[in-house]
Amino acid sequence: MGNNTMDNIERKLRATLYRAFCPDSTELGEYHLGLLSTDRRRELRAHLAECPHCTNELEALRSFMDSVSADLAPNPQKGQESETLLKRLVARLLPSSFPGTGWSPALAGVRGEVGSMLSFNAEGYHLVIDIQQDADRPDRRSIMGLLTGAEPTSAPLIARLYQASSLAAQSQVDELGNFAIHRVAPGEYSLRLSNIEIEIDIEQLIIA
Amino acid sequence: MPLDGDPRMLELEELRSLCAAETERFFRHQDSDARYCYEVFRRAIVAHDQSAWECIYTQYQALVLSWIHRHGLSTVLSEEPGYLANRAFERLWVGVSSNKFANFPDLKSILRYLQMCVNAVLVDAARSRTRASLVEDEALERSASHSSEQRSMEDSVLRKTQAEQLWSLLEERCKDYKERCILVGMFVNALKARQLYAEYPGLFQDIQEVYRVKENLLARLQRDQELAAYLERL
Repeated sequence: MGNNTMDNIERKLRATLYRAFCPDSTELGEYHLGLLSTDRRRELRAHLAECPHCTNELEALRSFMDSVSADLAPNPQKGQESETLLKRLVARLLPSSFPGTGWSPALAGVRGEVGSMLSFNAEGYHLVIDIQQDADRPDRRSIMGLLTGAEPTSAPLIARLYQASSLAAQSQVDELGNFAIHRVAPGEYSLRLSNIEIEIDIEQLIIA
Repeated sequence: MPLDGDPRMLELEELRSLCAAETERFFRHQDSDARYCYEVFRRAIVAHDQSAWECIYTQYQALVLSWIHRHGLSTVLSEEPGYLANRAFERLWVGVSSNKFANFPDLKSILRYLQMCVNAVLVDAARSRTRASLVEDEALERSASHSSEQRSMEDSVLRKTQAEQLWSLLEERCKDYKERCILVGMFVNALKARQLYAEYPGLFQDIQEVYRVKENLLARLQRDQELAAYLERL
């Protein structure tokens, strides 16, 4: 009885008090962005001094904002011709992707059926794309990619899928060259892997 | 291609098209003009133009989804990315109201806020999950007759009020700083005894003392009629 009551008190204290005085996550974000009043900022600083959870969340927020800051990076300085700095490559489909066919990707576009594995070359870069049925949405496709064969670049590559010039989806290429774009509706796309140094294009990719 | 015309004079359809084109140029690392996209945000937020909001959603949904996929928490949470993206746009809607728009002088500052909102919805989902695992019984009791949205709003207000009342009662009953640290460490922050001992270096002689102070405090609280009555009502 005594232990049960003690356990009960402990449980109720935790249920009621656990993180009850933490700022909500948006306010913590506004603290990071410097959008709070001086008084509220001071209160949050005091809270952070004794809350390991908020301290960890703030650290994770900083890390996340750093990781996506490149998406908001300013344009190159006026007069600095980005086109001349950027190495632009058009990926060519390797014949081995369609053994035994006389099909011409240059004329017809690259058609990716579910289960097909497409290999591309672009000046030393080798890109393999695997089209799969999406695990969550059977009517959609997942594009799994692997980029190999080139020297490491200074900034992470982003794989962007465009449909009729509009960005349809994007995904970061990891340090091993892997990327995945999920829930892609069948249709005609272009795929671009790029960072500030390089751009590799597959100009027409038809997802069947 | 940057233009000299005032974006405020353009029709939304024209803005939509220019915003898409300039965004495309931005991603190609070419000179681009952010004024058109910024004007779409201004119309949505300051002029409360619903079509402008739809334009923002269409233009930035893929980017928001990519931020969600690149967030460390996205691999451990089960929420649909599309659901999380909608919540992030809602937070932008609430956080960047017309009277606060002056705090966002350019497109970059708004998109930074949107990135922060993406983080916030993922963190909240993670917080809910941790809390549910700590206080499962109470969470189930409270959820019995409410939808999830209602529960979230009502829970938040009710929980804050209850916590403040309870904390006030507990602070009156704390004998010393060590007991206060036990309350903060073990019940507010849900630390284990070993973690609490490390969190307050030099305060406790050893971990056994952490347990001893906690036991004494809980025993005293257990005998307290007023507190017992309050806890009974929770």
